[in-house]
Amino acid sequence: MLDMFVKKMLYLIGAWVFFAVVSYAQGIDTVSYHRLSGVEVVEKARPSVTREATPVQLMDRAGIERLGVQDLSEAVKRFSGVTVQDYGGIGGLKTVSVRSLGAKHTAVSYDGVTVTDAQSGQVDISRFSLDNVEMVSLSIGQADDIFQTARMYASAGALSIKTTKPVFSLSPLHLRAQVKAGSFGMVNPSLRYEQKLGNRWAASLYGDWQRADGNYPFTLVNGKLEEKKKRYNSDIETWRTELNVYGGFGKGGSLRLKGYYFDSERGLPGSVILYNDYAGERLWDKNGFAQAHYENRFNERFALQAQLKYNYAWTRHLDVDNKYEGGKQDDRYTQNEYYGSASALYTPLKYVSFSLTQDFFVNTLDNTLPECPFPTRYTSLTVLAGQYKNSRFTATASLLGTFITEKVKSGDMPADRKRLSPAVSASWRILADQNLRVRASYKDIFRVPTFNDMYYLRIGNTGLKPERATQYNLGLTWSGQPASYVRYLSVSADGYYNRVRDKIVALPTMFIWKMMNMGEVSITGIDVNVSTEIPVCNKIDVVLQGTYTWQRAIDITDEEAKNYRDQIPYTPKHSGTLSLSVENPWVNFSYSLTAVGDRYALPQNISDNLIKGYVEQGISVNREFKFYKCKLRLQGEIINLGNINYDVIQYYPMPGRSYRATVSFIM
Amino acid sequence: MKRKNWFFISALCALMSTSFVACDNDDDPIPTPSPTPETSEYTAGFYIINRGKSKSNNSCISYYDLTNKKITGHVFETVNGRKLGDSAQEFFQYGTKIYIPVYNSMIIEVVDAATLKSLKSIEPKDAGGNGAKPRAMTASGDYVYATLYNGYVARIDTTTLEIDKQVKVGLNPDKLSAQGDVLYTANSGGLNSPNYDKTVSVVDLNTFEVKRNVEVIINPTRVITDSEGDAYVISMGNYSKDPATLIPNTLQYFKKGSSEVKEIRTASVVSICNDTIYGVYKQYGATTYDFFTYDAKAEKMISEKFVTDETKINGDPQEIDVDPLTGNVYVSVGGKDVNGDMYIFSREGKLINKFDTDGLYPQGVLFVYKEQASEKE
Repeated sequence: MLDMFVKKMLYLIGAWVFFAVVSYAQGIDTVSYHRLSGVEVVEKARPSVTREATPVQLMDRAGIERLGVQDLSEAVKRFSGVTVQDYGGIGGLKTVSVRSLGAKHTAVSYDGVTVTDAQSGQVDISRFSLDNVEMVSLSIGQADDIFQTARMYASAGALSIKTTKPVFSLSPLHLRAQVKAGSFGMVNPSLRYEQKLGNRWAASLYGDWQRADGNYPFTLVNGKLEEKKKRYNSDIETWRTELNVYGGFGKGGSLRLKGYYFDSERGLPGSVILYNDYAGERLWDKNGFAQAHYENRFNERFALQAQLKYNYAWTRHLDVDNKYEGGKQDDRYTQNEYYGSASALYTPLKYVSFSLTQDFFVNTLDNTLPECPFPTRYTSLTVLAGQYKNSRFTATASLLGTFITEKVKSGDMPADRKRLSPAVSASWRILADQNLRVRASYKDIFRVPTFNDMYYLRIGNTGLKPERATQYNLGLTWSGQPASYVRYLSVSADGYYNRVRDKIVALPTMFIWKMMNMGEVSITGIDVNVSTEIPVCNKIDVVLQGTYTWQRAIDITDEEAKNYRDQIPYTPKHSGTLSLSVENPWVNFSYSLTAVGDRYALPQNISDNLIKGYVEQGISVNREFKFYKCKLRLQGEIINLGNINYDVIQYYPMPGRSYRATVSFIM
Repeated sequence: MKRKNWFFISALCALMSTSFVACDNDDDPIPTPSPTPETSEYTAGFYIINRGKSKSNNSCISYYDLTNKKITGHVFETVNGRKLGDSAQEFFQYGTKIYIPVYNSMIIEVVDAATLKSLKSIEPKDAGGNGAKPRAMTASGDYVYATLYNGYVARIDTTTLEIDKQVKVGLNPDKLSAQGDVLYTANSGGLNSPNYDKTVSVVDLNTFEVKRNVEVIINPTRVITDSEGDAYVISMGNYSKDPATLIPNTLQYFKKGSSEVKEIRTASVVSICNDTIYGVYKQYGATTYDFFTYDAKAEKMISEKFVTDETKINGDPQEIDVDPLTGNVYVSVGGKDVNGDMYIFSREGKLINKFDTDGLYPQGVLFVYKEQASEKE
């Protein structure tokens, strides 16, 4: 018995040492490492993800609760190979870039349907609540699932959000009432109600309201001066409502309907400008969508699914500043999207399947800016995919055909776009009795210029070509039980090479900026993920998890340029996460750490442009009380435990140490 | 870092007894100790102001020593222990003070010309007490004048360094110029694109009131004056990518007291020294440029091709300065979000030197002169 305990401890220490080495390799100075040295947590890399032929990482409900993760960006930051651009605070824009390809190459899907913004081309993930979410996953390259929408093929990386689907056992109704409160005036009550409707039908209703003052303190370093300051104009108020209806027709298939509405008003504090504390920008968002998903698995050989979606997005941007005539600029933007997708899956042989998917969508933009061309974009995506999959070998190939045509009411009409984008991937279990797999994948993909890229007043350029991204990945995964006292150990290491061509960038030309296809980026990197679970005794369970990313993303556009072969902005060479959670009958505890190395704010890698690396830590505790059929859950977190003053985006300081508490009542 | 400090301090000591002057402000020299360099002096070096990238708080001043051909960056920060701010538009010397309009920081930084020590950060305000963004500076008599992007010109008393009066001009006034009792502002209306302003306001400096507005090509951003008080105006036009609708960057002029505007030629940046105008034309997107000289007194072109060698300018010219002592021409060139370059041409139009300005988007230079004798010791 003692022997066993020693073994477990040795294993734990071994894991620690491994993470310590990983952390050291990140170039974080050792002093701060020793101060923080924790270990780690997370449920994200489950053993099953090692089977995928392209890297997939996930965090499920259990992981979300254990780590005390409260919004989507906090979950995504725990993934390797990802950079979350975070402008700070609850209302600050947060976007996800996968392997330095830029946020516009990342698709975000909500219950299987892609969330889009044809105007900016990127999705602000701060608008999604995690309270209603069952699982968040990130796939890089082309995921193995060939039965999905064509849009999920049309990006370099995909972040998928799956909301909780009600499961009824005894009671025909479920209720979850929750109040969250935290620093900087944050209050967030939410309610989720699930009702069983007969044998095959069910409905759920979710609603939440959030508000915060957001005026957090920060330290501004200006040469030799250090000044305690506060962010102003950071308030936010948000409403979210979601209604889901789940239905089955037996052999007639299953149906899922969703209605979603999001409404927010926020102040935009802007970047910190020396000697100027004025901030007069406000943003209003209204976003509503309705989507329907129908699926029918007729037999072992044949399945069909179809989806429809209508999306409405309205934004008002107000900038009160005496530099404008009349003292303000007040712009409104309205976007509509009509979307349809149909997919057929055919499995003629036990190990062989094919799919054919067709998506069609229309995007419109209307704004109050002068010279708005009122563009309408028609996009058709067709995918043909084939897969061979047995217990040791998986191979997938797909070909995406894109056709885009655009109409404008005034100004230049862009040319039609046609393109074929192939993707192939394979995963092979090398030994019959070991879960050691090698995987390789290739994908050639592009992003179309956004409406802003093409039509934005003066800056836009209708002559832009799509921005191309080529991805190669080679990885090893292993999962198993290295010893009887370990529940599992899962390790993956991937090396990758990406090339971005015809990168769309804003370039200064004589006094004004213009969007141009002027850029080529070469990206080499390594992602490592490790997770393990050790039941220390039958009441205590320890989960350890770590990720590490090394990236060299260099600009190879112009040999004459001063930034030739320099690391592109906002891309750390080293970054990683660690987490440790201890589950026990008393108080569950978790500790997490995010480390990001030095980055540059501008293209040239000189000390003037350097943004120092940082280590951010947090802890979370929770306890659940059961009485009768109800549960009461209490959870508390400390975010940025070390009260570190850091920027993700230069001059958008992040909050210092802050607190959050959640009380949930579940019935 | 230590070495850098030492270098700068020694450079400063060497400068103590010197004066510097920018060429295009040899206006009415009442409090000015040395409007032009003495013939016994030589050009020891020059300061460069880098605007930086907007919202990056990286405006900075570099010093270039012409004797040892060395650049020292961040001299304002070294002297004052803090940064200059965000989007400094230019620097302007008048007498013993240098005035720097720092646009996004909403301050006019006033520094002592001999030491670069900050004397005051003037905070221009609108009628409601909100800050206003300063854009450019000029001077005449006892006053220095600044355009404010909210549509005003502020008058600053050079002894108290207080704004004592403001006068409303056009929309988003950019550069301005004064000569004797007249001041011109280029009212761009740049934030009203595509409905740009197209006026130059003529302000009577005796009353500090707008006398009249002269209509020019849309989007005027720069005005300079010759010794007779005539105004030379650059309008940036509409930046159209369609050649059929393009209104190009154009240089125009009107005589003092007149409202009759004549076009001279296409031009993007101009500067004047001893009544010779130096101008560059580089329409956006263009890879080639024209560099011309024009005689403002005789009102005729001197040369359509000032640069006589094969020098390529890699980037966009932001400002031209001419050293009145040597006749050398300094072109500040901005890169693509990387450090800018200084191109120095001889009066014959041959490239003498080119170097990195240690900051983004340089916006001009101020020359430092020294006595020949002191150097020989």
